[in-house]
Amino acid sequence: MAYNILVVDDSETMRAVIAKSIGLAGVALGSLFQAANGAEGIEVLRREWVDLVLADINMPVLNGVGMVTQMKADPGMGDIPVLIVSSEGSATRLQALKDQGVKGFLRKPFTPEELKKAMESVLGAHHE
Amino acid sequence: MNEETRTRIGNVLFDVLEKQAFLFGDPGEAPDLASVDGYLAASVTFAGAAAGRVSLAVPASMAAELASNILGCEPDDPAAAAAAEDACREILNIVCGHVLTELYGSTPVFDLGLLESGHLSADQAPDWTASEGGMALSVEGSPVLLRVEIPGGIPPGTPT
Repeated sequence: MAYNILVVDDSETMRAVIAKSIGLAGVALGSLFQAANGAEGIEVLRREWVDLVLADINMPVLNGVGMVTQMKADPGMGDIPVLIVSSEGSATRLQALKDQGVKGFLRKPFTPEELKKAMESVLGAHHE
Repeated sequence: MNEETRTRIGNVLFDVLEKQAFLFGDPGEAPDLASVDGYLAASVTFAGAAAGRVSLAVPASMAAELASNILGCEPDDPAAAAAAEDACREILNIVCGHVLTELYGSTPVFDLGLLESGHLSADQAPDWTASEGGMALSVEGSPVLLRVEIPGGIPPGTPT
């Protein structure tokens, strides 16, 4: 199965790194969508089929926490698994995101292998 | 800021640069500020259990290498030059997250402000390093500047 993946990060450089890491990880990729903030990410989710969202937290316009909140409140996108990819180190915030339904967390900086493991964990759990 | 805290914060920068950009620091080497013409600088504010600002400055001559290493392209690739500022901001973003955990532990929640970037002239560098939370570190033989400003003071010990 090839996955359609949405990468949401305000850093174009980091989106490129994540895209490259997905390729290096050998994940079966359908389409790769990119968005520079949570609001753009929501727009992508409204018009495209997405199997997995990789989202940063600290972004302008709408941050990752706000994006997850909007996603979970929308029946059309509430079930899409989210993997947070961020430099966030607060266990308190991560627990709050987990309580909202976020499936996984990967702290920057990361290796392609770590990204692969995190994605497999989230996708595996979602399909169990 | 005491020396132990300074070392811990410096190690955070070394770890992030090594893992994300394949740039290696030397904690035992004194950086030569006079070797740099100017810097690409970035800063971000934070608020939460404490409020402050973290800033990073890399030599302009290193910025493209930083970006190229992150992107996996050649340093003379136009894409590296185009991404230099964004790459510097992103490294700072990662460093800031890890510095806050290093100083305050994993319980407090911090909100980061928007990342800003600009240029720092060579003659401004000594003021950076002389300030309370400022330091210059040697990375690949070049000075990289890091400054942590917390008006209430930088916590001296390891968080419990």
